[in-house]
Amino acid sequence: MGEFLFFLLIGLGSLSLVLLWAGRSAGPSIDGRRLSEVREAFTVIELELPSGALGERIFASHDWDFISANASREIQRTFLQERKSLAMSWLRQTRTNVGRVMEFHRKAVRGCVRLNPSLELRLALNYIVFLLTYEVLCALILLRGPFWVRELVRYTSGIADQMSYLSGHILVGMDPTVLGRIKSRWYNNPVAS
Amino acid sequence: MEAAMQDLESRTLAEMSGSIAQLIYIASTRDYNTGQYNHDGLTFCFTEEVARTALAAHHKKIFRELVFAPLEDIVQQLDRYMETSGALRADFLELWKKIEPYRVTVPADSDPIAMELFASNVKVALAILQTRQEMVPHS
Repeated sequence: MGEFLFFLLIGLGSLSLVLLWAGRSAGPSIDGRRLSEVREAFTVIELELPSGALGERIFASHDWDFISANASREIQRTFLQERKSLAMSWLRQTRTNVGRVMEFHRKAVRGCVRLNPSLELRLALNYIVFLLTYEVLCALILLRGPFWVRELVRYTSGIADQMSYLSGHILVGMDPTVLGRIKSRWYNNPVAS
Repeated sequence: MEAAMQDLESRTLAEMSGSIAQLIYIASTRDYNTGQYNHDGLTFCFTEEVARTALAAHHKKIFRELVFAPLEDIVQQLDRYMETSGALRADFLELWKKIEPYRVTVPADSDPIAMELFASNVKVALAILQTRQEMVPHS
């Protein structure tokens, strides 16, 4: 038991350090207008991240405040169960789409665009942090429900946006011939390596 | 298109009590088989294409408002809609719980998670209204 706690503490400590470091070295701040351009470019190739606003809505606690004051225990249970399942769906969808962004970046963009090592490093780091926070979030949602993890959801959603921005901003304003080549490569072989 | 949307809002939808009533009305103008919207009045004033686009845009707008509305608002709106529907409350609640008609009121190209969130909120709102309804005879 003591050993387990020791490793758990080391794990949590390392995770906190990585999160702190990633937060500080997360790269350029996201320009809202530019991000929507990137999202638009990704929409064309069917690589949309789930809406962050929808995530905020699912994890918002005001519904729970209302339910806990106005509904029977049975309704409270049903509500919590449904919201937990929605939260997990949103999270899984975010995870899948972030994975697809990485896959897209690896296959389609790398062959056509000159690599920027610092961008690649940042992207890889963000992906690791994203995967870690995703696992932590899943565990917390299953254990405690969706209304106590809002800040972590916001943070995870921010990392997903950052990754989407880092990978996708090179598409915006790209030479149409190169962009066409990237698109056809992605459409013809989006999953297989 | 803007003019058609304004027309729809100020003439038809303004008379309805709340977003749920508006959502159900707009969904009812959509053909079950083709997914195309039809509204004679709007088509008469504008064109068929403009009328369809305006209805589709309004449908999305109202659905989005409902998805992002707090659950408390959904309960109030559903209560108001039930009141104005003319049906007996008990019958209304029973039918809505049984056949879940609200599931076919969502825009066709909605995000599946948004659809589920909406359905879940309506389901919980119905349960709350049913509890209130059951408490009435005893109070």
